[in-house]
Amino acid sequence: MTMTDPVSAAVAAVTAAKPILATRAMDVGYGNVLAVRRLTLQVNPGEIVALLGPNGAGKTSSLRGITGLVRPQAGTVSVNGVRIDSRGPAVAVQAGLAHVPEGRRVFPEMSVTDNLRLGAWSARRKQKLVDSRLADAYALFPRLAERRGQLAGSMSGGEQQMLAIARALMSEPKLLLIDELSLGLSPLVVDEILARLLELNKEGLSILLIEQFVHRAMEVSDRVYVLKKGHVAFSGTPAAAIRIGAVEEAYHL
Amino acid sequence: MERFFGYLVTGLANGAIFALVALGVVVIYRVSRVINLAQGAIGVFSAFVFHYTLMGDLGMPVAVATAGAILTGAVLGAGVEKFVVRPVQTRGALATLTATTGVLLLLTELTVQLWGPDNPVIASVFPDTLVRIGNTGVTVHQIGTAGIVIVLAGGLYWMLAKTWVGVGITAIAQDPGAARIVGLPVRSIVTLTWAIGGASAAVAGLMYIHLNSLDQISLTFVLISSLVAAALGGFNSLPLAGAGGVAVGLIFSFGQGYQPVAGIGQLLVFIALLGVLLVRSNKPQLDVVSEF
Repeated sequence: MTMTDPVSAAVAAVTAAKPILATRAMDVGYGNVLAVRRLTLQVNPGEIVALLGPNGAGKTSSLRGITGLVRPQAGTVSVNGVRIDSRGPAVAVQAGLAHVPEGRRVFPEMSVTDNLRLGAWSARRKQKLVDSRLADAYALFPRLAERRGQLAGSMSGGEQQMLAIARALMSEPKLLLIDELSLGLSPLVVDEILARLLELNKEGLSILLIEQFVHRAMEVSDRVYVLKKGHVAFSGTPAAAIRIGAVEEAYHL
Repeated sequence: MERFFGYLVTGLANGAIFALVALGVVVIYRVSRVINLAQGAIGVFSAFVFHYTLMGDLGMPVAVATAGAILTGAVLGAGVEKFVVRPVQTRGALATLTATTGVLLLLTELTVQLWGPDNPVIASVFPDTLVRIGNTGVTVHQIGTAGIVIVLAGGLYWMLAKTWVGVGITAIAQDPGAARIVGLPVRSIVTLTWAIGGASAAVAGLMYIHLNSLDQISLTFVLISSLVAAALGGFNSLPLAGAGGVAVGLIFSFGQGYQPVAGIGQLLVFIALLGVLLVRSNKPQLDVVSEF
């Protein structure tokens, strides 16, 4: 009987599984300025991956390139092995990505319910499916259920962040991309939202997270990428990042 | 009193048409932040296609030709968005205004070149039978015009509130960037909105030219009246645009009726426009839609 090293077993399991998201040498820029250079990253099924780095490192631009809000100038983006680069955000959503943007971007003059329904746009011809997802969203965030008829713009920042996440979940994504989860929120609200996200992760949802509170992000992540001036300065486990001081290096130099 | 009632009917019928054009202008403005100055010209062109081509050359029955004219308006609206406005949209509000002005001039000139400078009397799906009320009369066409505008306005309201496309239009009006993020087909919805605007312009053109046989220059005035109405709501409010259209129709009709000096109606409407612009602080935001 041979003993299997648990670490190499885990590594084998991870490499055997097809990544949900894979970018290869992706360049994202605006005009002549490149914000992201040759970004290669991947998110495997069930993983929580954090994208860290100082302001201007290219985190938000990476997400925009992945979802097609900005067309990558070079490289590829694949979801479950199917290329989606240059095909726009609607295709990314259909492929299983959902984006919770920086600043939440809920539709302010619309009810909570209408905001949520819009998240299920691609299922719009299946009324029952939309209704059942709506029920799931309200079960996940009961505070939204209490405010279902209220205009989204009249809610608190935390409630709007819940709405933005719930709206993204309405498309039943395989991978949730969250830009600045905790920005402007109280620690208690962040805890509440993170708890919900961890539950969803246990049920199989993968998450790519941009988060300003580095330690918070490291606690919940399986792997981290540290970006610096548009390229990947480090990738690996949070423990390894701490051991070699990768994050401090990126932030201070 | 008899005269008063007559002016009231004329004012309401024309006002309903101004309201319809104004609703089209506002719906388009809300999703693309473009004031479509070609809206009136699309209506006139569609009405001329109805009269000369569909009924004249092709001999269609009036109901079929009416449907054809509305389709023409929808195609023209969508075409203006896709081929004229979108290519210049990133260059700002001045570029889109100039582009729609270009379409206005082009369509007007095309109308003259194709069909000559005559002012045709065009048919209507509604008969001109006079319904007597007291000492004055209302034609069935006038009642039909008001009725159609009420039905269309109600239908538009219902669509925006209750249908998927309508909620999508509202979402794009509020935050086009967020609408893209959520996965809405923003471009198709914007084009569809212009088609709706073009179709409503065609309906307005058919109704108006039947009531008022006028030359092309005067027809463009329909648009100006409607812009006054749209401006009332800062180009952003459908109910205010509708109410404004009816108000402009009444001002015009009563002004012209009681003070039959040439151009008095126009003068009053322009004074009203000036007043609206001075009083209302929320000017239209003509910024380019952010790409996020």
